[in-house]
Amino acid sequence: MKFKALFLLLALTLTFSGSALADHWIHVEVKNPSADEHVTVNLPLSLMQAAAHLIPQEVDEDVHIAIDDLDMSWSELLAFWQEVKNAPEATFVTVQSKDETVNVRKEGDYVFVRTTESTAAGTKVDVKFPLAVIDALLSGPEGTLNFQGALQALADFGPGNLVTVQDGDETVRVWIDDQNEVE
Amino acid sequence: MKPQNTHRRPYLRWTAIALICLMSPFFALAAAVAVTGTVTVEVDEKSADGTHLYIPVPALVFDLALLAAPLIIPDEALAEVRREIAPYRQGLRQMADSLESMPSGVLVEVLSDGEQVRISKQGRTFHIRVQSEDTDVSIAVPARLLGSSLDVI
Repeated sequence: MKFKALFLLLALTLTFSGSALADHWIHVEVKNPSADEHVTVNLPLSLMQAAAHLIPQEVDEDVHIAIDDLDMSWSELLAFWQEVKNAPEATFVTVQSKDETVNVRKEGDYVFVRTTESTAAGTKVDVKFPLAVIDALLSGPEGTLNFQGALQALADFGPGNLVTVQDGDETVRVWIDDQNEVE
Repeated sequence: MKPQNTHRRPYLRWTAIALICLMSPFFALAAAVAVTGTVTVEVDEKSADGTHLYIPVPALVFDLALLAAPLIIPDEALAEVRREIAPYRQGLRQMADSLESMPSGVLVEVLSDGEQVRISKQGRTFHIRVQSEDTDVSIAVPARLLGSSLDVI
């Protein structure tokens, strides 16, 4: 009986973890009413995970170069991320210049990045990223980003907005849900 | 009347059997085309003297071409393609499976200046449609063809 229950639990877990990717879709919508443009992209996360296998080796090299540019080793980057993750809710960075304001804060299970240009029609960018996704992204071998793990974490996290950009009339929105089309 | 009918029956029976034998390759072909799908290309130029083209090709033809490919392509060239594709094979296979099993829906749609580009899946077929003021182009490809190509390569 115990064995059966354990088997059932294992089967349910595997089914759920497999279907999370299969059931979730990533959507990109670009609207520009003044230019009469409308672009929508709807892709299943399972397809994105498969595509992650096709990311060329050069991307890993680019990650190394980017980390070198930060004057930070991989272990220092991981340590920095652990500190951010374990820190209480707070605003980590606020940069206010004549042209724009950049704000990075941690709230709940998310990291929020907001940039706002000072001009009236200036670009506003809002990024909302689950901490678990960044955690998974940095879980690969040294100097490599684990895109597949990040996508799995994204699927496990469920529906929600990821990126919103407002630039004058033009809006860009990236989000995840369980619908295969934009309504 | 009855004795006449019993005389005709053997002829009818043999005629029916002969017809079935003659038609069976066509039935088998029709069934294979229905199961494997059709690749269609449609071009419609909207001007009065424009081209109007509709080319349906049974996907079975592509399957046969893929089967014949290893016999036609030189071994070295095929080995080279296989070597280059090897690191991406798992990803391509997963992508092919994912594309084949995903539900119907619109994958990409671009509307701009009266032009529309739309890539969608309807049932087991992918549709690519480009509509502009002067021309409409529509291509339909069975979703399983990518997987079939990988199987051969």
